[in-house]
Amino acid sequence: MGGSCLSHPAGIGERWFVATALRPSGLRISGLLRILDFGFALVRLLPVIERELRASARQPFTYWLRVLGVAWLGLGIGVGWTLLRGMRGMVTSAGVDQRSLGVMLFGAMNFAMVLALGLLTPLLTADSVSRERREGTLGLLRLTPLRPLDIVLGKSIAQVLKGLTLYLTMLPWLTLPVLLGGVGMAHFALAAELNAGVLVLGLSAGMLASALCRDSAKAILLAEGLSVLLLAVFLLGHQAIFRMQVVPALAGPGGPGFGFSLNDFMPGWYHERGILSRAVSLLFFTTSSGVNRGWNTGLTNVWSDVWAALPARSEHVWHQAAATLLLGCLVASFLILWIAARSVRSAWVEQPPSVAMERMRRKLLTPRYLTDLLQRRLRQTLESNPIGWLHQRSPNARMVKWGWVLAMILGEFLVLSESGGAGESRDLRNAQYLLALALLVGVAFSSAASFRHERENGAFELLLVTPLSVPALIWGRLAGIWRQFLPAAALLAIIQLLLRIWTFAMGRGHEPEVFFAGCFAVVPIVGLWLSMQRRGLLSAGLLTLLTGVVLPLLLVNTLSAFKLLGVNAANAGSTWLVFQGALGLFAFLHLDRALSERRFLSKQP
Amino acid sequence: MSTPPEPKPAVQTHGLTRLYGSMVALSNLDLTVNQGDLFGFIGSNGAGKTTTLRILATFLSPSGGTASILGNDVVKEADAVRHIIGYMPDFFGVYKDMEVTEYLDFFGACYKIPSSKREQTVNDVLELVGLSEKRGALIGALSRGMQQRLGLARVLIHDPKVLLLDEPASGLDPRARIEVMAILQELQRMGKTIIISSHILSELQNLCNRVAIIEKGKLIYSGPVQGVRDQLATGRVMWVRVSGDPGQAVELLKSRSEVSNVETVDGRIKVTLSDHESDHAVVAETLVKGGARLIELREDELGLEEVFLRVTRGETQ
Ligand SMILES: Nc1ncnc2c1ncn2[C@@H]1O[C@H](COP(=O)(O)OP(=O)(O)OP(=O)(O)O)[C@@H](O)[C@H]1O
Ligand SMILES: [Mg+2]
Repeated sequence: MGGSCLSHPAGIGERWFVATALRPSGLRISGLLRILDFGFALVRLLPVIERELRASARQPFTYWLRVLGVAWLGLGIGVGWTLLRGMRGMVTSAGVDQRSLGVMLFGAMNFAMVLALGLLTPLLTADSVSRERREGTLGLLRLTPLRPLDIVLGKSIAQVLKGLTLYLTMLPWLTLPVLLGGVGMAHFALAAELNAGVLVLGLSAGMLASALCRDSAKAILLAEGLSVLLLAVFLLGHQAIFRMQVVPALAGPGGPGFGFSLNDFMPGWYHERGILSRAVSLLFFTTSSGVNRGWNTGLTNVWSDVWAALPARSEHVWHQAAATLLLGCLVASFLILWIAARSVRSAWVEQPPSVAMERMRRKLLTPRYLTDLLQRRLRQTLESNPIGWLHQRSPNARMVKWGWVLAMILGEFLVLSESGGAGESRDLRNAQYLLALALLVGVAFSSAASFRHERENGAFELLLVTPLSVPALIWGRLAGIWRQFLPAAALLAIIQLLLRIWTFAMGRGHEPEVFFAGCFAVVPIVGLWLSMQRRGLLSAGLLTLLTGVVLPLLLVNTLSAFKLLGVNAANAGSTWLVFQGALGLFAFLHLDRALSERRFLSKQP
Repeated sequence: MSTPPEPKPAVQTHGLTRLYGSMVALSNLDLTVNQGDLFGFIGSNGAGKTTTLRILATFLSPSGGTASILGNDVVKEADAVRHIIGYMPDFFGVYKDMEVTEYLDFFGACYKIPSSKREQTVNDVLELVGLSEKRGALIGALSRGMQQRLGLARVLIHDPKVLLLDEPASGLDPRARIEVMAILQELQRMGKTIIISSHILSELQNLCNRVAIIEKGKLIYSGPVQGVRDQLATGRVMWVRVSGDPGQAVELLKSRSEVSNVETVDGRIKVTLSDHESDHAVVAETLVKGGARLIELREDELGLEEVFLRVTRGETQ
């Protein structure tokens, strides 16, 4: 695997060395030499890029990512379509208002695209360095004349190419609404500029996370976190630059003049008090999904409004602003990559797990007064369900368990910080659903990862020759996962119950609760099953979400929307139960077969 | 000495076959390992050792044929088999962030050893493999040899009667190797039946009482260690030195039907007899009768390793 990359750069490195040595130290004839420098640097990076691309070509995930990108856009269209169905006003006696449809669709799709770029691109890079570290090849690269920055840059460039495919798969879709009217090519170009910034930031976030973590799950989590953070900064940056460059043009000669207020162009931001709603309105502003205050109180398209208000001579200012922002993103991501390179340098040498550190961690994470209780409970688990114990034994597992509870509490507080008003209880409930979804993401990845460790370290083979039967093995693991997420799920359930009581909504339909309870039961099974089918944690986790959450949602919703197979809004809840039950059973049986036939063997690298 | 009692088979396979897709990894293996044997299972890379042991350990199911351990069929009575075997794969299968005792405790629980007995058992097996001092250590901080011994301790945790060890000595330094071998002999004395696989025949020749050699999924020898050479050496080699021109002696020898090949190497003549049973006196007789002046005649001491190499020459996959 490393053959070409180990022999190749040596020669290039020599030339590089010669070029550097020849540089007249006193003289700073920078121009030509700088260019030479850059040329050499690129040549030096080539082996890394090539190797990276070749390695990723073997990863089925690259393919899946593209498919997912397209699927996500499909979802965008779905969102637009759903919204459209809500917008009765748009359907006039003359038929559907095509321009409004174009505006709507553009907003929904661009929104989906930004989210997809912000959430999927970090995944591209998230495991690129950490994997080399786990497999020990990072140390081998160290033996070549490559510098940390070369490796990080080379890998990033390779991933940028991949990211670009994702970007280019999605971008053309945005011309669809342009055809419908209401939005123009200027919208399209602006979206292209802004979204490129999101792409670049997402990639560098993944790279940094990958350089900081060794474990793939941690790297993925950190990559997503960083990316969301960077996205927030990006949105704020867009707002700031809009104010600095575009607003003066609006106020300039030929503009709307005194009559206009910034509020008109930034719906939401000045009305909202809470962090969440402000964030959402920022996102709406940057993606032109001009949904104003809630989902059904009327629709405006921010971009169209601004363009309509901009004097003809100043139409380019927004593009300029976006270009500046993109430049800023490039600089920022280079800085991030530089930081990543620095941490790669300090991670060159793979350290064995330090005994003292591990002890300390265990001590710190196990409060003394709880130790006895904890030990006793763990022992009980070990006796009754050794496989479940595996899932709970480590301090890490406890951290994850209570970390989720903490995250749920924080999330609830975030929601409570939102402004009061008519939509409050509905917002609260929506927030509940978002938190439940987040928890399901955790469940999906945790289950998709759970037998992975055993497969990697070989303990799986040992477990399968103990007297534990395959179903016992599966049930044990499932119980472990359920227990891990039970406190957080219970918290959500209790709050939901309270919400129902407080808002006197006890009698309303309970479909969402049924749906989430079903997901909580079924997603672990699906996750375990898919972890046997897919090699990468990422693809297994995402596929689990797709199969266990998105698929039932889409299917049952579609059925009930079209009143197919006797499904309607009234019995959607029970349909879900039936569907999810069938899915769980199918996954369990399949998993049982796969384990009994040892089918995971050939999947091992 | 009285005649030893008829040995009872601990492990028996009949026509054992395993396919991976269309690839035949194991073909018609008939193997018998008696109780109390320390049985060497030898083959080069890809010969099918791991596949065989995995089938015996109930991890894989055979594509054809049967295998039984102490009379229990590995497919039909897998559960019973699992209680009486200890299987150590050719990798460690350890959790690096577990402590040594924690790890053994966990597997003890998997084998449903009551918790009251478990602590004692864990101590005993650690004592046996010489890891007592490391009982509280993190597994990730153990050396390779220690991890191997931990693997051995894990195998013993439920006191199995039959041990299936896949290359337990690979990657160990000579000293650790000897230590592991000593542990195995101790276990044999305790009455356990042990099957141990290896690439290296000579490593096992002093340890095992019986060996089997497997190549490309086929059994080519099974029996006592001493028998390997007799059965497998395709021809006996004699080294001859004559004074004067060896050419004449070569011609003389070539005329004999018992001799399959003659060549000169460094002025000495290497004579290969066509079959093992033929009397090597034939060489001396031919030379002397033909008038050659014989200075030296010596039989080549073929090492076990060379026998093994000959058998498997060019056959590694
Ligand atoms: N999971 C698998 N899928 C496909 N083929 C396999 C699998 N496992 C083993 N094989 C093939 O079966 C044959 C026998 O393999 P096996 O692992 O039993 O050999 P071995 O004697 O243990 O070799 P080694 O000394 O290298 O460990 C090999 O040709 C191997 O390629
Ligand atoms: Mg093997």
